[in-house]
This record gives sequence, C-alpha cells and structure tokens, in this order.
Amino acid sequence: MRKISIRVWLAIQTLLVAGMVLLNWSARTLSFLNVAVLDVLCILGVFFVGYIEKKREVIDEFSILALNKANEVSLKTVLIAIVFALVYAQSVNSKKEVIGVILGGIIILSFVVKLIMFIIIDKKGIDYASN
Amino acid sequence: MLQTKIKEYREKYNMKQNELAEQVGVRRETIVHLENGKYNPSLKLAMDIAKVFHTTVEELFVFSEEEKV
Repeated sequence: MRKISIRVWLAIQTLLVAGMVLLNWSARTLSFLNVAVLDVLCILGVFFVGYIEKKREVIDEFSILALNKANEVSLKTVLIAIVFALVYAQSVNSKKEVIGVILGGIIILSFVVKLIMFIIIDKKGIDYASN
Repeated sequence: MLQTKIKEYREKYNMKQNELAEQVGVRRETIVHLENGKYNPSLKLAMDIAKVFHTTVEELFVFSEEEKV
C-alpha cells in the first residue's frame, strides 16, 4: 500500500485544525453543536491523526531538518501575529469574542505557514531556506 | 561544496531513486537533494549509501573548497 507523504500528512493536520477552529466558532449558531459533540469530534480527530501517522512515510534526517526550519518560521510568524493582535485588541478595545476569533485565526495561520514552508524546503532544498 | 557520484553509481547499478531511498531508509526527495548537492548527509547516511554501492564514502562524496554560485 502506498504511504502517505509528509506533505499530505501536514495538509491533513492543517485541515483538521482549521475544521476544529471553525466548528468551535460555529458552535454558537448551530444548535446541534454543543460542548460534548465538540469534545467527541476532537477525540476522533486525535485518533485520525494517529491512524494517519502509522500510514505515513518515514521521517528521515532531511525531513527533520525541513520540519525544524518550517516550525521555526511558523513560530516567528505566530509571535509577530500575536503582537499585532495584542496591539489591535488594545487600540480598538475589542470584545473577548473578537480576540478569540483572532487567536483561532493565528492557530490556523501557524499550521498553514508550517505546511507552506515545508513544501518549499522539500522542493528547493535546505540551502534555499537558510539564504 | 559537496559533490556526489550517487547518480553515476545509481545508473551503473541500474537503480531508481526510490529503490535507493528504500534501501537506505530515507525519502526519495532526500536522494534528489543529495544528487543535486543541495543537502549534506550525515555520516551514517553517507556510509549506508556507500555500502549499497560497495564503495567508500571518499569515492562517493567529494568535498570541493569552491563556493556554490
């Protein structure tokens, strides 16, 4: 059976996180989505990621370097985004809900940046990322 | 920069990139980057590849002082 590539694995993770954050947002408007349903969906998501990891291709030394670099860029992006979000929240004096939405967006952003950076490094090599 | 003769040896042994990758336990992309000189392997990986081709690390990898343009 063909193994799942690391790119697909990261894309699935990103989609799951995005789905969870969007579900959490929509839980306010959709009556069937209560806390218990969200908890069950989260647990199912964790099991699904575990299942995918078993089918995933091997993470070798190059992939570790690429993932580390992607994580590094993702973390920097998140820190910058959080600073901007704090400044925005302070200046506009926004509601708790708005700040929550922004933080949810930042979580999705971190996964998207990680995925994009990994794809770029995997395609162009580790030297490309260091320059 | 590190120059390799992996491609030459691979062709000599009539081996595909994914076959070599499978034998040394890495992904095909890692072999691609090694062949293009875009990644410096660990000593273990270099020795594993040399073992597959029944040669030495010194024969397979050549380190040149000139900078990559």
